[in-house]
Amino acid sequence: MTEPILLVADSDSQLLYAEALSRFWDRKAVPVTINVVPRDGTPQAIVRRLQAKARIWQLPVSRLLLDPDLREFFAVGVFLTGSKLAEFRAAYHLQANRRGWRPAPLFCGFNGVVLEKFDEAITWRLGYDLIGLNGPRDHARLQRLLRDTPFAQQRSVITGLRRQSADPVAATPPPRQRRFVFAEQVAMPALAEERRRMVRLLADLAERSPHWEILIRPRVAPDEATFHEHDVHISETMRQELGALHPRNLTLSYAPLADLLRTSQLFGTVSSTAFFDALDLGCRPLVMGDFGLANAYGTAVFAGSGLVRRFAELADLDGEISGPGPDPAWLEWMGHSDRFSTADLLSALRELRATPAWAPPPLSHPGFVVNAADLSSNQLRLGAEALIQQGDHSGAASLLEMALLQRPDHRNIARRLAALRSRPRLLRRLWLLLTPRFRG
Amino acid sequence: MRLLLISSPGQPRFAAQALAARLRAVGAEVVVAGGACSDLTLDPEILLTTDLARRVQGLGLLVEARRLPALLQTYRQACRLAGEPGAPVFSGPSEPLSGDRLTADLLHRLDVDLLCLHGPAEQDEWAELVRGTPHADKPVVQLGVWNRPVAMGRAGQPHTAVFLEQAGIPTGPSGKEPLLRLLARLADASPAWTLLIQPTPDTGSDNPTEPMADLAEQIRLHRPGRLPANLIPLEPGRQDAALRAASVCLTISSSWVFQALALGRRCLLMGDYGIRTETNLPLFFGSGLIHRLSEVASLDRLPQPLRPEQPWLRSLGWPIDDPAPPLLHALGQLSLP
Repeated sequence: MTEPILLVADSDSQLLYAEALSRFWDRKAVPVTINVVPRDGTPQAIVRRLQAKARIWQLPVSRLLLDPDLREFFAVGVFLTGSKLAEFRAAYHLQANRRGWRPAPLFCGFNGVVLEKFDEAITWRLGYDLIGLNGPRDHARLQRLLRDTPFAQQRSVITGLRRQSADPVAATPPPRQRRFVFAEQVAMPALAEERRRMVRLLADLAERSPHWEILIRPRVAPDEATFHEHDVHISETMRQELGALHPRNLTLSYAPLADLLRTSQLFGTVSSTAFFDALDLGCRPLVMGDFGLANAYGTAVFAGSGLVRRFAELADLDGEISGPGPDPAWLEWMGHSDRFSTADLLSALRELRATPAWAPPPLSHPGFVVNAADLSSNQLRLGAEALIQQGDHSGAASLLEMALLQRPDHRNIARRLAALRSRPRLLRRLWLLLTPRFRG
Repeated sequence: MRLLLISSPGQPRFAAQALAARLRAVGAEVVVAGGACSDLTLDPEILLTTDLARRVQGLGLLVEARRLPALLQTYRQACRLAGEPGAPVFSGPSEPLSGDRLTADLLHRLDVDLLCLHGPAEQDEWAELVRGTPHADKPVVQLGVWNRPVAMGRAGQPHTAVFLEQAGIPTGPSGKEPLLRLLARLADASPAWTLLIQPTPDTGSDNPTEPMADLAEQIRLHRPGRLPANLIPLEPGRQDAALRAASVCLTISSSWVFQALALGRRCLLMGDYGIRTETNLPLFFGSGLIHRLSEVASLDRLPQPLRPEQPWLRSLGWPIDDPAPPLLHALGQLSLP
């Protein structure tokens, strides 16, 4: 018997995460379908790469939910942003309910090391049958938030941060070059001045390490769209900042990061999750600590790694090849350990399927509000329209009042609410006819 | 024991004064500096270079986190120049925090000698933050929710509710208007009630939005009759009196809700905006006090019981009734050889 699994993702990083989660599953027993939600800027290179590994669908979520094959899956993994996660869960259960089939377990996760907004992210994910976590650190935070609340029974599973280790490795690995690969991130740091400083730090290090090759690996190519917003591509920042003083041994490379990590001796980052890929692929990682330990840069997470360095203070890169590696206790705490694997996710899903009557955990409890409980403005508006149809105008007004609090500038919500509040009844009905209905 | 407390405006100042009162009550000699109503009006930067600051038995820098590193550097430099060791420095957030807000706060306080936290939840988060770093051994003391008032108040007036308005929440220039309309609807639907709107001096609001009092005035000016007469915006700085007057306290997430809880008021936190980092609601997630105010038809039909969950209160350090004994004990331990 096969256990087909559907993974739904939109942005590039979510797609890569979905693929990494399923990488070590036996494809014969667990055939994987990845639905790449069409969205401007999804790099086609990633989609092509995934095609070699899984069946690819490219349906908008609204179409996917109507697809008759949807009921055939053993489990469905959803990798979208918070409000879309909650909307998918609600719509999926509605669909199953309408058509009379038993919903499959829904699971979700965190595509990278969680740097910020973890509590908020959890309350968007509540109600999923299983929340995938990266390591004991995330698990401790989840428990701290949910203990002593009605959501304490929320199921979760640690899937670990070892996502690269089972990649095919050549029988005789190529010799590692005296190369330092720096993974640029789009928003860490975010300010133009900080990004110029980052480039300067790398250029100075290149000058102090003349027999090293320093490669900056940009997050995206200059012509590629991304889901983050920033004004200046790193290549332009380098041109502006370094100009004619550009050290010869400092260059940009768009080669796949994994290939670079397999052949380089050192890796650097401000706070990219590629830190863990580098460890998997035998490349020693360093964290650029020059911007201080701060939430905004994601560096605080790496404080206990033992590998945070102020690049301005490094004499050269030679001294970094040897010496103690990452702190093992910290690695385990983060989830980078053989103790955790994505196989645990499969086991947890099987256990769930074997439970005779599992039901999605209820989200409505007096005194407790979660983001996942129909709180996105679109859900509220849809709910309001349904109530208008049923003639419950005060219920509809209450939902639109909440939607307007969240989106105070939204004219159509304001108009519809004003219509619901108008008196007498005849005028209200006229207003409701004239103001635009929300159709989702 | 002689202590010097330096505070900054907003919650830190209020908290410093509350702490000073508790410390004096157990016989400590306390000098409070920084701003009005303090014993010394010297600029903190200057005060930190004086003999007084070096010769106390404990120096409390009860200031906003981002101001702390510069003050600490000034103080330590002055001590070095004077050739004196100086007093142990203690500091901590002046209102309970959690998650990103707590992390951002604590990262500024890494170099103090004694870290003052509120309760076990904050201490757990601190331990996770500094796990595996040299800061993991830093002395930490739990002081409870030390900014709450000492004396329990009398019961508030029935049918009086206060909405604690925050300067920067909801965010965005037009966020306050629908909120004001919601409060107006509630007041209109609750003619037996008085609904006060009290602006609170919350710290950390870099982008204050237009106060609801100004909005209300504009509406009353241009469209008389649109706002019910029992909806009353109050002047800033009256939160003490407002909280004592009211029997019910409504807010999105003002930290003055802890004062309301200490006074025994029923409290409702607005979940209408979701559990978002910006609105600081993750801190209150386990409180059992979060409801959607837009689902409340009138103040006569408020959800019940609007009393906080005990495990949540315990996690905040609420049962630690008096911050003075644990603080003095921890400072005493520090000065032991």
